[in-house]
Order: sequence, then structure tokens, then C-alpha cells
Amino acid sequence: MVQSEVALETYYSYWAGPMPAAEITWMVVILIISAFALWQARTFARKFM
Amino acid sequence: MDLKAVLKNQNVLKKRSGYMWAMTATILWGLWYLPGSVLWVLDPFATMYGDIAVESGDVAALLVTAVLITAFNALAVVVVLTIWNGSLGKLGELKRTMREIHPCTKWFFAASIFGGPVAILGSFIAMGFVGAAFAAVAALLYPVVGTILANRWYGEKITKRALVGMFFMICGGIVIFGAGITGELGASVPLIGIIGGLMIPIGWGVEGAIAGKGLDVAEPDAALHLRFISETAIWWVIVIPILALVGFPMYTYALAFFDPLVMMVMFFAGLAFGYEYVCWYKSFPLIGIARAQGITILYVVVVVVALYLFFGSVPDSSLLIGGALGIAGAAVMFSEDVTEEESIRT
Repeated sequence: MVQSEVALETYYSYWAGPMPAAEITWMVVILIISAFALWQARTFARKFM
Repeated sequence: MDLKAVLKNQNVLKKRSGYMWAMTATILWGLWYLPGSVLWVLDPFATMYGDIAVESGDVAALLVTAVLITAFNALAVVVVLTIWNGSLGKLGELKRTMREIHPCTKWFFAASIFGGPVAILGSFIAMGFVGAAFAAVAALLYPVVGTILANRWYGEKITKRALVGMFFMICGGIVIFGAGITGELGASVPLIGIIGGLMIPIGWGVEGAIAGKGLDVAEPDAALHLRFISETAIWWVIVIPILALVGFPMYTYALAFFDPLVMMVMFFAGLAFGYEYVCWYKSFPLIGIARAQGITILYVVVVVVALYLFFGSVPDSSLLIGGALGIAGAAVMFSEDVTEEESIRT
């Protein structure tokens, strides 16, 4: 299913916060925190396993 | 350094790691609300909601669409946890945990029932029949259920400081959503809404306590993966086929899911939710259910900040006061001297 014009308009209207390029940076933030979590898991495994 | 000092140091390091896991879980939980909110306006979910509302009413449309979104969310979590366990070299551990049905699998299957179809579905029922503020306050009370169960069931210690911290956090949650609740509960509240509200703290609280028991014998990363495989099976093998048999066009909309934008948003929802959950599970054996659940209710503060930064929703004063109370509660817990405590259980 391709997104309808209304769905796309509503989707992009959500990203109206002060964060620059909010429609992209939210994904970058999730990626950074997730990468940190994974790094933390590897470090923890090295220390205690 | 003697053996006692080495063990004590290691104990302190583990507790600190536990707090770090709980905080990471809190941030990811708060961020999950971004993709979680926008999924509803994307097709096929937006079209599905509209079409079913015309034929069966808004309530049925809300519940059935929520089931499909939750089912895809669970599937996305299984995918991202495969990446997590693959990169940590723990896929073999997952197989081993699965085979150990008596000591391991039964706990995580039970945890998936309480976490998925009880807590998450309860959230959507409460939101649909009463309101979002009611659902959020109910969710904030889940550490109380988890703490009491863990204490009564397997004797997990609750220190006075942890209790004080939890009290501050719950007060913060009540301040944040108090005004909304008063408005929502002003009118007559349907019984099903109250039941949905009760399902949230019971579901997540019991899940935490059950997971804590299962984690006595299982490795958290594999355990969590198993818990989401179980939840995915519950949605796709039991719930969705039943809804399709009842006459809802579940498969039509499920097959319409394969659009790059909605798949990408769902992937990020799964990433935030999956990694949040795995950090949550990892914190349980290190700092205990009470502290881990107490800290993670700070997700409310992260939600407020994230919604402002990305959606431009400005918080009002009650949110700021409630957030400050929540942070004070977390500070009380963090400042606890953990060096003297050798075990989290009595």
C-alpha cells in the first residue's frame, strides 16, 4: 500500500517541534541511544562474563 | 586486595551498571512514544481505523487497529533483538533457553501474556474508553504492584530510601496527569475502561515479578527475546486469526503493511521498544524489581521533553512540577549507598 496524500501530510505535520529537521533527527536520536545500549552490553559482558 | 574487597567492588560496579541499564531503558521508553504516535496516521492503520469505524463503530475500530499495530510492533522487536543477540553472540543461548521449558520458557511465556495482551491491550482499552491521562496514571502505578509481588513472592528487599524515592515518583505522576484525570473522570466511567486501567499496572507489575523469577536461571538477553517471540506468537497465531474469523479484515490490512515509510517507522518503534525492554530486563537482577521499575517510570519526563522537541507540544506547569518530583525520586534512589548491600533479596 502506498501512503495517501492525506496520510503523508498528517505525518509530516507532526514534526513541528523546535528540533532542527525533527522528521529525521528523532531517528538519529533513537539510533544513538540504541548504539550506546549495545556498546554498554558488550562492555558489561567483557567485565562480568 | 583481598577476595572480600574484590567481591565488594564487583558488587558496586554491578549495581551502577543496573542503574545505567534502568536509565537507558527510561530514555528509550520515552522516545518510543514518537513512532508509537505517528504510526496511527500512516496507512494501512489510518485507513483500517476509518473503514472499520464506519462498519463496526469507533470502539471496535480502535481495539482492532491497536491489535494489528501491537502485533507488528512485537514482530519488529523480535527482528531488532535478533540483531542485538546476534551482535553479542547470544543466539546459541536463545536456543538453549527455549529448550529449557520447565525452568525458563514457562516464565517468559507467562511474562509475555501479562506484558502484551494484558498491559498493552489494557492501555489501549483505558485510552479508548476513559482517556490517555487515566491510562498513563494507571501505568505509573505498575512499580507498586511489581515491588509488592517481588517482596512477597521471593523476598526481594525494599529499602526505606527506595520506598521514599518511589513515593516521590508516584506523586510526580499524579501531579502530571491529575488535571487530565479530574476532567476525564468527571463524567460516568464505563466499567470496561476501569478494567482496562487495572490491566496496565497488573500486567506490567506481574510481568516484572515473573521475569525476575525466570531471570534467576536465564540470561536476560535471551530471556527477553524469548518473551517477545512468545508475544508475537500470541498475536499472530491466536488473536489475529480469531479476529479474522469473527469477520475483521485483518489479513487485508496486514498485507498492505509493506510500504517503505510505515515499515521504517515501525522499525524505529521496534528498536526503541525492544532495546528499552532488554535494558529493563538486564537491570532486574542487578538492582531488583523495585528500583528498576521505580526508575523507569521517569519515562514520563522523557516523553514530555521528546514531545516538545520533536512535535512542538508545550508542557504546562503541572507537567514541569510532576517532572521535578519524578527527578527528585530518582535522585533519592541514585544517592543510595549500595556498597554495603551484598544481595537484593532477604
